[in-house]
Amino acid sequence: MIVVKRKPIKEILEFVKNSKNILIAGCGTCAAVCLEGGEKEAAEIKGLLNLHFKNEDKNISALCDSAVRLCDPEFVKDIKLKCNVLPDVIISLGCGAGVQMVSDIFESVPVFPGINTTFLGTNDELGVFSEKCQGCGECILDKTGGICPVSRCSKSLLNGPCGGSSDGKCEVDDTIDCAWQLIFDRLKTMNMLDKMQEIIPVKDWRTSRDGGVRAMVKEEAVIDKNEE
Amino acid sequence: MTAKRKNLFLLCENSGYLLFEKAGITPNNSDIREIPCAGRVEKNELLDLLENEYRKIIIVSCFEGACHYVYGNKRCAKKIEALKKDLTELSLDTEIIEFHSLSANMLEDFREIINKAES
Ligand code: SF4
Ligand code: SF4
Repeated sequence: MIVVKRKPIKEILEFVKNSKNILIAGCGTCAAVCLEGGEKEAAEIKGLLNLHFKNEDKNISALCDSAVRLCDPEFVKDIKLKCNVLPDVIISLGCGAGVQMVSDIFESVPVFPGINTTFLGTNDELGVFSEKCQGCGECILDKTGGICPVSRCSKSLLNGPCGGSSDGKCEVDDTIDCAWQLIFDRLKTMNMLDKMQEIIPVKDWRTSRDGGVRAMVKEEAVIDKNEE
Repeated sequence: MTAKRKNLFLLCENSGYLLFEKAGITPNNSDIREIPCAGRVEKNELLDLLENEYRKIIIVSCFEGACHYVYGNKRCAKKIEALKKDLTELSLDTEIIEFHSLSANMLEDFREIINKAES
């Protein structure tokens, strides 16, 4: 999942302070699981802003709505259809992709991010998240006991550990588990320690963030509507 | 002229509401609501009530360590703390929400809370 964190409420207020008709758009998927940008949190931001405007005797009101996902046009179009009048400004609580999809659909309306998009990770327990993937575009988890060295080794070493691993902790910060210790332990548990001897070749980073903007097309799902 | 807004008491059925029944007070300026657990209280619902109906919300949960749903009172306390932080950031009065952890035998403390709200 994509892990997100709500921006400070004062920063959100700055985005909307000169607007009269404000929409807070929540996202019902990752942002909701993070307890930062779902339906409840959208209503919470709406409530906080409205209390603030009331306190300042300003005739401004914020509204809120939310979609299953803000990164999917059909759900965002639903939000737009429900607007009697277009808002002056939208705070999107989806990840960065959601903010941009809302911008695409609402065209003329300024859309601001109400949350910070942080990393791809797991929900380890209620309210606790950890980074597990950097979307490198060519997964090597088969070679590393299912533990990702790209995201979990502080130096993204493909053939670790470095010389700094000590008592299972990373030399960069001793609160971080050394990814290569984890890889070793996991391979040992699976009786696959021979994998540690395999050299992982130089990675082709063009599938990562070095080759410009990335796109992905699943051919079987795409219909060419101009074709006879 | 619009009527003065009331307070709202959200009282956990295992502590606050038992105290309310024992106290024998009939509030004039407060509405009383019995809730199954303070942990169920959501910040957006509190804000909605404050925006549209009430001037102040007072939550009474079970005493620390005695929640019938184990962590409900702790969860509620943490949510209220976070909410007050946001209220402070927006220069709003943090006293519009009160949170108390009381056991069902702390009648005097409860009386004090309700009398203060009623005054
Ligand atoms: S190897 Fe690449 S795709 Fe696989 S988990 Fe790590 S960053 Fe993600
Ligand atoms: S100590 Fe381990 S996790 Fe840290 S940089 Fe070295 S190999 Fe990577």
